[in-house]
Amino acid sequence: MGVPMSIDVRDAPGAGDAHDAVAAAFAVLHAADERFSRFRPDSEISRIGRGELEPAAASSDVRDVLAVAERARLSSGDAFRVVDPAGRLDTDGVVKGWAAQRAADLLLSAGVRSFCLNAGGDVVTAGEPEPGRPWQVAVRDPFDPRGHLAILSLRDGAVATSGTYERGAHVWDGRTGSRALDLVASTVVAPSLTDADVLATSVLVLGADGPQWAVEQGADLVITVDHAGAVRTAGGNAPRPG
Amino acid sequence: MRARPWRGTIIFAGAAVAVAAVTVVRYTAPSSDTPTSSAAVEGTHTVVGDAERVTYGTVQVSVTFTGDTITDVTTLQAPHAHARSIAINARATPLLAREAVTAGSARIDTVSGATYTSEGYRRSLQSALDQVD
Amino acid sequence: MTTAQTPALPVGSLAVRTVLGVGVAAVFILWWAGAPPVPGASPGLAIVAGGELAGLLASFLVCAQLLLVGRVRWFERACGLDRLVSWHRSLGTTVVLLVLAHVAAMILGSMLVDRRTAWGEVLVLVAGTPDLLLAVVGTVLFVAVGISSARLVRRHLSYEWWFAIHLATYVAIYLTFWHQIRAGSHLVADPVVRSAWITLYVATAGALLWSRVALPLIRHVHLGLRVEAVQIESPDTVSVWLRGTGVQHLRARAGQFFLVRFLTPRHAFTAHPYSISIVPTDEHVRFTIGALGDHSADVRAIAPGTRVLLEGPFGRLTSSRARGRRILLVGGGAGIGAVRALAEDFVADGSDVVVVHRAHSPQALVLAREFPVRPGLRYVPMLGRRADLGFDPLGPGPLAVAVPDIASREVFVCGPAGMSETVVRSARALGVERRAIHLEELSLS
Repeated sequence: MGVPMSIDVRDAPGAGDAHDAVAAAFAVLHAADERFSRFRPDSEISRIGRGELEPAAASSDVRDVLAVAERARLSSGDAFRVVDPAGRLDTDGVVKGWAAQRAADLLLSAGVRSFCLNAGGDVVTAGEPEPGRPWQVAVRDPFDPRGHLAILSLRDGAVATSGTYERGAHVWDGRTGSRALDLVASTVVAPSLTDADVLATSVLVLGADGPQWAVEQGADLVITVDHAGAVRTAGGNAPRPG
Repeated sequence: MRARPWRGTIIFAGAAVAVAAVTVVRYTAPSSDTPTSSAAVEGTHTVVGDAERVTYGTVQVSVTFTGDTITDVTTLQAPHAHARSIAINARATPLLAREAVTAGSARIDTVSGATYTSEGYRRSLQSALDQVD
Repeated sequence: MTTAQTPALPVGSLAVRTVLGVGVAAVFILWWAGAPPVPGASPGLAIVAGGELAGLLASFLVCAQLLLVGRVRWFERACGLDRLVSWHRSLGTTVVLLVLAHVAAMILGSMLVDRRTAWGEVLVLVAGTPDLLLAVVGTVLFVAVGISSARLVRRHLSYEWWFAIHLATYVAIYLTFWHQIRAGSHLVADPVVRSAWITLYVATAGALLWSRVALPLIRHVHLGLRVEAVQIESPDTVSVWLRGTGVQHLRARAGQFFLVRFLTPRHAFTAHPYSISIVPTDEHVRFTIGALGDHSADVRAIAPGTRVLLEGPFGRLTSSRARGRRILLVGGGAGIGAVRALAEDFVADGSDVVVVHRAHSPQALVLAREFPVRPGLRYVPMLGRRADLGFDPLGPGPLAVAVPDIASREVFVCGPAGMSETVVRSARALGVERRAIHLEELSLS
């Protein structure tokens, strides 16, 4: 995947424990990176893609991820698919969020009560950075790398953003195979990053119908931006243009 | 024994009735029509979101846009019942308004964005934050 | 001890009531302004909002309660301690019940909104609301104080025990204060209102500390009052002579009382209301104390030289209440002390005074020797127990015989509640106007 990741820890049982927990969290992310890499010919994903390995015989992590992907495909009416238009298996849309959530769970189980994990733009937060104030997560403006669209206040939750403004048309519509989408960016706030990530990608594909659908799937907040720069939202605490 | 033995109970009854009556009056008054948008100042318009049911109650926010930029956010209603949400809303919603508007002085802990290329990451707000931290 | 019969409301009392009313109105307005908006409000939300109103009101009234009996000078001068205590009692019921209503409404409303069971909601609220657990403990204390003050229970408690329980109110207020400013939605959301609320409590605390701690201490240092002598008047009555410099600065009038606190290990924790039994001289004041509770019986053991703290003077049963110069003073039990002082006062300014002293036996005629035969003063002891006599010496018949011209006199009554009621009834039956009858409650509990 090759994405920048940062973990900001504010409240941990002990300084040593915090370091250990963070190191373990990064290890989880690196491991997932390797296991699900499409560019390493001997990764399980590549072997499954070539037909050399049955999904049912793969490691439990891979099976987990594929199960998540399958659920997403069904609930999104095929809009979300891990098989790209050329027929290759590409789990990036699921793995990033799934792995980051795993890392966050690890931090929590290590006793870290307050942290903010950012894996390439997908964010998991827990607790408060300072007593009495929540984490402030900005949503990047699709048209300005240094600007932001909104600031979300979170204590325990996850924010995932899917968009075509960084890596180009890397998201496709599972139903049509087209890489031309109405939306430029979508951001989903949900209790878990796995869900948020999948929903964000799905919303990007679904377009105008996406936000409401995502809220029905359990998203707390959805923000989308289209090519013209119009912002649409759904969910609580949401600014919603008429 | 005392001249007015039930005075205490009478006063309480009066107070309880007053509290109940005032609450009922407040919450059964017919609500004024909330306009879906109004043009207050040239180039700005305010939209009122629907009242949304969330985990802890109901949230409704009105947002003022100047062009496509959010210039003000007003909470029309926020979840009240759950204590945690009270704390969240009292602090978060005003914070959301204040800080969404004054972008320069906004305190941001992290940025959620589409997966970065290294190029994009270098240019992005998140990389600046990472350096500061 | 009898209830106060007040003449037409003096202006001061009206002023205090007005201030209270304005405060209550302000609370309602504050709540209205900060309550969640109407569109989309569910019944549960409305109930929660109502619960918050009940809580705000109770909290404000708590401060009012403290000030009413805080012996704050302005209130006392405006209203009279007896009236303030009476209001405090009545308002007390309201405060405790409002607190309970607040708790019930918050639980009910929240459980409707969150769709949980009552107990589940309670657990969630306590776990998630800052300082709510403290407030729960405080509420339990409030209820305990309320129960102990209810007539049915108060009867069975000694003054000392009742007072000890009542002190828990301070703890209860402290414990419940924090969840208001840290989790109360009207206060958390608006820093101005929050500051005002904190100011209210701080100001109340300040007024109390000043009136109940600082002032008495300052006065004590000034006056240096000590017990000079303890005189046994009868098996259950003693007179305590106090001596100090500048006693006249107390400006005590006959018929008034002080809250007296003897500074000995046994007595330092409670202050008792005692009437003065002489018109104070430059250096001396005297209290005549009947055995009414554990404390009063121990007074005879107080050693000369003991320091004394006084708060007061309180009370409006003074000679200025009389609208004429023909006076009837009726005293019984420890009330004879106030009668003795009033007699001195009235005789000194030339009134015609009849004193009726009700007692069971000659030995119980405390201070009798202090009513010498002289023009303008007639002393009428009425002895015997009603059971033995077969009639009530203070009934209309016997009273008319003892005081034939009662209808033309201003009647002052100081004594136990039962006796006072009888006297009032008899006097009314004998043609005395209601306005001409004066009595005052001496109990603070």
